[in-house]
Amino acid sequence: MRLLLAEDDAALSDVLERGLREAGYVVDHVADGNDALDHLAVYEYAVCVLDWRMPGRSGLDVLSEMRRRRNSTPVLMLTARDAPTDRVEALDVGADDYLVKPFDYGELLARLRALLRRPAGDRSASVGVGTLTLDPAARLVRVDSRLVDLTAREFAILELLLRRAPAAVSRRSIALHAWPDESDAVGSNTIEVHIARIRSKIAASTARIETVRGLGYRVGSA
Amino acid sequence: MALGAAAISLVFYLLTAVAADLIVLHRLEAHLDARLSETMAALLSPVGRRQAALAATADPDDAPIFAWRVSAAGTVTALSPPPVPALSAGVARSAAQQGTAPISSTVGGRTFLLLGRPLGGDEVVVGTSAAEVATPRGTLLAAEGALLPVVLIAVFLVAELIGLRAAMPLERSRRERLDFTADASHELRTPLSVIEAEVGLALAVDRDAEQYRRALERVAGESARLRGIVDDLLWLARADALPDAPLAEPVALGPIVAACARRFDPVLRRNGGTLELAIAGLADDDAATPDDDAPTAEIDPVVRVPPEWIDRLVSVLVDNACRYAGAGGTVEVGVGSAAGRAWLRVEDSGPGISPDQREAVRRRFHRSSQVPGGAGLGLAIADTMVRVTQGRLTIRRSPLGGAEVEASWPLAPR
Repeated sequence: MRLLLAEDDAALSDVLERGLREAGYVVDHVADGNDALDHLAVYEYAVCVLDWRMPGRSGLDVLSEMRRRRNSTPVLMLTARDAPTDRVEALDVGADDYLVKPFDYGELLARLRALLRRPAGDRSASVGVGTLTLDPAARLVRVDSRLVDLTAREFAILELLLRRAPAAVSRRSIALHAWPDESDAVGSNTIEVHIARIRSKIAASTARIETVRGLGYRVGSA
Repeated sequence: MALGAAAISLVFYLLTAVAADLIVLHRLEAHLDARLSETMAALLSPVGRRQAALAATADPDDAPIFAWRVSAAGTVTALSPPPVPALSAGVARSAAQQGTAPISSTVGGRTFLLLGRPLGGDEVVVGTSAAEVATPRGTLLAAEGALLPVVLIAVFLVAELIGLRAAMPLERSRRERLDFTADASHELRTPLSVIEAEVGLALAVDRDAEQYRRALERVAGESARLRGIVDDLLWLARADALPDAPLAEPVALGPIVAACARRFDPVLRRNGGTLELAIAGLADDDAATPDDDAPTAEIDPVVRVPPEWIDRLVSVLVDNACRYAGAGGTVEVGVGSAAGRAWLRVEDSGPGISPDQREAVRRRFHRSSQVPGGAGLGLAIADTMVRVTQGRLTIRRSPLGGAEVEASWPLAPR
């Protein structure tokens, strides 16, 4: 899943980027509020981590402008401002969650996973179709109870398809959420190759990856 | 407070209103009594003068006074021209019994003031409507009643306004303190967050020794950063609490500045930059110690500033300059004297500080958007320090291209 990290402190954004990449996210980092808005206008993000204090435009400004432009990307505000009035303001302006620095690293990852659950309306921790289940926290895929071994990129693609199921997902979305530089994937047939490999690995489950002509791929039941 | 003022005003207002009411009542009654007495006296005067006397007491502006004569048998005859209200014999007799003072009684359905006197075997009664007193008094009371809420509201609002204006400077300093605390909190929490995130990430899964080592190095770096911010914040907090500078002996500016500035030499060199010193009173730039026997071209300036403060000031200014100068840049530190003042100048070859920013940069937690790092406290400390020691801090454009920050003090006598 692609994530936008807007944080101006160099040391903090460095450790966050490393941690988020290790957790499987494709991370875009900006250190300025205006850059954040530019990126949000061009790319599709699964979730956005926003600091309050930033040069250019404050995180709150970015958030308010995002919502004004009808961008409903889930936003987690990460900030040192902990007064209840600040939290209320951030949540009312449109943040979906709020974490006060310093925070627990594990808690940050868990809250991001919670934000990713919301659009699908799926309240359980795992996502799945039929006998295929994917656990985002443990980064495991199972067919019935048997583990399936997927590469990091295959996992990212399958996670995206399952989260959006039963909706179809475009090739561009797949490229954005699984590749740091999406142009690598869009121009070639690497997406098709990956889909083929995933299909063979989950063949024993009742879930099927269907090709939707002109739209992309979707996961359905056999 | 405003409520108290309104309450006190209410009490005073009521006292004044009651007093006014009593005074007016007394005067109205006295006026009526006088008129009644005069009319009575005119009626009782010898027949020949009666008409003239009556004419003299009649006043077209005043309300009419009526006169009656009551015989011993109880027959009441009106003495005044009609229309005259009917007077009962019993009431007439009560009036006459009173004699000296008027009584109040009902005549013809209205309240009247009546004065009665015996004349021969009969009684003479004069009277006038009591509305003469009641009506003006009623008007006065109504006016007082209407005015009361207006006065109370006015007093309340004025008191509130005075209270607000008195509280404004207090409110402003309270808000400044809250802002300082909020900003300080943010500056401290950021390096703390880095430390916690590094540790959390390092412990999330098993890693090799090299990764742990690098994580610990980063933690060490952030701890040092945190310590620097804590030191700066404490310095500012102490300066706020004790606004006067500590007593200072005269110290030679040059050597302290040189020693402090030289500490930044390795830092600059690591980034390909250069540090240049032009300290008056020192034989040459690279001399570790000044040669006391060599004749110095310029006098080594002396100021009354605590040496630890000079050291911190130079640190802060040179640290800023290094950051602004960036990789491969130049930082120049100079000390000299002119026109009775000692000066210390730090210049950099960076982007400079535009004239409209030169006041803003001295504020606490102000951070330049062009230059990363720093908590925005350096120039705030320099500004406070120089001000408290009776000096001046000036920001200009440097011939190197960037900013020139100059601190100057009056020369202390050697």
